[in-house]
Amino acid sequence: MTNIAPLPVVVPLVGAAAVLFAHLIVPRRVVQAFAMAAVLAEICLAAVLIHQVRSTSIVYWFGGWTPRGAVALGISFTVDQIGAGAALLAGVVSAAAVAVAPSTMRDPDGIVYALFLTLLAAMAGFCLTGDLFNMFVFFELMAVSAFALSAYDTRSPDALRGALNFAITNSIGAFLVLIGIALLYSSTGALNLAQIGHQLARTGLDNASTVALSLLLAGFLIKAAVIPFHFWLIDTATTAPTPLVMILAGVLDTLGVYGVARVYWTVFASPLAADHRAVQFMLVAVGAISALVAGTLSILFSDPRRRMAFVMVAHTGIVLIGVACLSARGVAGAAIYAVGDGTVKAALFIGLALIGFETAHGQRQDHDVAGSPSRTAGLAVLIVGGLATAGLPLFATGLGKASIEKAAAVAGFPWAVVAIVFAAAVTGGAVLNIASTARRATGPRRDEHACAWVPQLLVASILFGISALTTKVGTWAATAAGRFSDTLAYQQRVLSGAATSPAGIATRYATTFPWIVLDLLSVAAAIVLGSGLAQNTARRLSPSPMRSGIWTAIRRVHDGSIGDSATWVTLGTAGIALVLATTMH
Amino acid sequence: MNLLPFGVALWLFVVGLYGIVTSRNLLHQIISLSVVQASTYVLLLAVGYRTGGAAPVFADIPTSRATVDPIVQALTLTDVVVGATVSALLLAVAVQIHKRTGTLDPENLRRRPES
Amino acid sequence: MTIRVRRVVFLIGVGLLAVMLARSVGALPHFGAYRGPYGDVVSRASVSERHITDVVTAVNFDFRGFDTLGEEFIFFAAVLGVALILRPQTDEGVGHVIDCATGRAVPPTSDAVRVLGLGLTPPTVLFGIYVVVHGHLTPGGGFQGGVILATGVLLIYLAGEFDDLHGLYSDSALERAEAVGAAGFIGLGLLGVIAGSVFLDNVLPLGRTGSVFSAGMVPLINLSVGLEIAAGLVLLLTTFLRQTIVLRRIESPARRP
Repeated sequence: MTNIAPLPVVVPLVGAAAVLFAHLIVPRRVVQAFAMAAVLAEICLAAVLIHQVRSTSIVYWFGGWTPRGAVALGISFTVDQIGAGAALLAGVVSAAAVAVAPSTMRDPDGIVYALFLTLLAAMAGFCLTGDLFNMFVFFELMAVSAFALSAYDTRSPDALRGALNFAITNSIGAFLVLIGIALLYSSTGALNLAQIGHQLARTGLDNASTVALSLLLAGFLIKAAVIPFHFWLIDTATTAPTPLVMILAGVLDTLGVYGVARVYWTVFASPLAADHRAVQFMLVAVGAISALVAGTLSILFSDPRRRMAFVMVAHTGIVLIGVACLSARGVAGAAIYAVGDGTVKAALFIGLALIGFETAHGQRQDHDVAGSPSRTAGLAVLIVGGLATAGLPLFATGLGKASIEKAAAVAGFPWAVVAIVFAAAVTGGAVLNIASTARRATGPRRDEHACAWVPQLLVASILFGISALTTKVGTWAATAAGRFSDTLAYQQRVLSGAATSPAGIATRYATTFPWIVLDLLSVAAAIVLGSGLAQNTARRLSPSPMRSGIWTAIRRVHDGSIGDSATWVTLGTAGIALVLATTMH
Repeated sequence: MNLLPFGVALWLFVVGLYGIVTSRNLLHQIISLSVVQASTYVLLLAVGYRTGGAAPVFADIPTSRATVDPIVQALTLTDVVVGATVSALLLAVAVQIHKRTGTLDPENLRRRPES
Repeated sequence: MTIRVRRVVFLIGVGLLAVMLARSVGALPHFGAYRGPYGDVVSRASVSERHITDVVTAVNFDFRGFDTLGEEFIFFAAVLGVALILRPQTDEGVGHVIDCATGRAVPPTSDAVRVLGLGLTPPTVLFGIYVVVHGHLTPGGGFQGGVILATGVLLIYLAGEFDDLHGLYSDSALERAEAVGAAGFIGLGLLGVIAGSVFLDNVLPLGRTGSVFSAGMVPLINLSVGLEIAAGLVLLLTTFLRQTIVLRRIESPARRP
């Protein structure tokens, strides 16, 4: 049964080829159903994989090229629980996206489903692979598929510019990763993650591998869209079609943080052992700044899609804090939060579509109110989602957030806890505020496909349900995180095939008292912010000219200029490289 | 130590990025991205070079002969295909932008300030 | 930021980054002193175990074949993306081919170009097939040969007019050919699974080193990839050409900002 490992990637790819073959002769509904079947197959395969790796990871060598004398000749898929779990999340969010595609995109062509399938295959491959260049290839396949989909609305110049920004910024990130790979290959002679790690553990870090680490971190953080690399996401998430933004929010951003975690623990954890505090501090700071700044901006902007884009950046910052603690506890919290929050965010975009905030021709339609059962459903989704975003303990966002806060406190970063609580409160408030302002908007009723809201509501409910169910997987997450962060066991498993017993489990995952209080505090603050009281008071209290000056500057910085985005990327990369270079010796 | 190949790679990288940042024409910006990519080709191939090594094709040389590294050449091939396809996509978007707005200046495409 | 501010900020950032990158090069092995084990082990194993003399093709289609599968699908997704982005909109229609630059009618192709184009097409296509088929022996392979094949088709367009090119292959035929090429690679990979081994294992007979019928699955994978690349590139060309030469907006032209 070990031949299942490549199937989560191969099955969607075959599906994409089949869709391309038949999409002109087969009716659209059939194409959508077929694509859905391929996605569901991937979900089942990922679930089977999770079950198969429950005691040891699977190492699958393509072409039968097993390593010879600790030199890896071929490409390996090194499947562990976190990787298979991430592939499962990708499948779930893709299923939701494919389900709502016909009702939220204008007349989706058959080709659209083929691109969703290649996107899914790339995400699964990125999570399952154990080879660094293979990660790059799937990184690029993700980028190309997502970019093509984000330019779908070719009639809107804003959508096209958003797509360009996406492509150019992510391509620069990919080239940074590639340069890092070249430097690592030159120093260690290997492309397999375990082999590179093994080699670096023996020789220690030098200038080349330190710069390579900086470049890999920068490249993956660009994908994750944390500050200062977030400008492309704000632009794209505002203008791209709903199903693509669901996937971006639900899983694609998290994969950037996954890349950071995977590369850190397999390659750099051992040689960095003495200096890891510097990396910790830098990554926690980046995560905390993203959470704080993006959280604040999510309330200040008023376009719902822009708000949600900032919510995405803030929450990815929270996941990054979890990973940045460089502990198994942090990884477990980050994993739970990523799944719980990703599904909720995807559901929130469905909520926006239900209310009728779908952007068309680059114009906002916030006074164009959809038929009333659709609007009620949308409001319900937004309210439930808003509470979940703030960390209601009913959903995995609450449990994950609490776990990350605990990990951050244990790792010695109490200020990060403050940032997380603030970000959860403010982003939850922003979402709730969308619901309360939407209720007050009135206008001509839009001609609506009569029952389109039923499947959309159903999908959103399923997503919320998954988030709630994820609260049950605390112990599983702890074991998975323990194995994920056990560098030596990973290397031994890949290079010599030895199956070692899993590392000690970090902790039980009952949400203990102080952390639940923080969750409830965030939710309460979110409700206050959501009702608009805080904004009205702030507006009356603060002086006008200063506020409008700062506000204009903030808006201008986020106006979608590609050159600006590239400049920030350069600065951010240089900053990361500088921090690592000065703290490493 | 022969630093020229690495210097060329670094120069291409810097120049390409400069082009992307300061460009006033979308086509120029897209081609600057290709220049950045060219720097990765040069770096990869420089890393795998062996002085006195033959090309890694054994059709006409004995297998005992030392060759340059074939792995980086394979990686570069993959990189070239990726680069060409990304450029094709970007150019398609540029064509549509020109059709819809009549401009190719990225500065004119910036979002109009709204709330 | 204004362009002036942006330039200054960027130069500071890239200057820092360049210094870091330059320092890192100092820690690498010297240029020309490649020492790593990976390339040498692969070179030795390529001829002795797989009967492939072009080691780069061996790496691409055998040792690291899964990377190439991903790369093939990047190409696949990009061609689909271009077809999606440049698809005819509801406010566009097919018009007569005109010369975009000056609004004049397209001048007929000169006889010299016509003869040269038609004369070069058969050798180009033949050369493309040669490069695809001999990928495992000498430098070449599916990607390179596929591009040459597509160039042969482009020569037909240059020798004639857009309608000649469009009349040769319909879009759906090209799409189907591309899909078959892409799925072919996966199918060949699954042969390994069916034969009881792993995905992409080279399970066909390896033949004699140096002959065309050697190296097991690799020539077949090359053919499959060559088909996909050729079909995909021709589709790319037709889509771009159709967009610029033939599609016209039915209603009023776009407003200038």
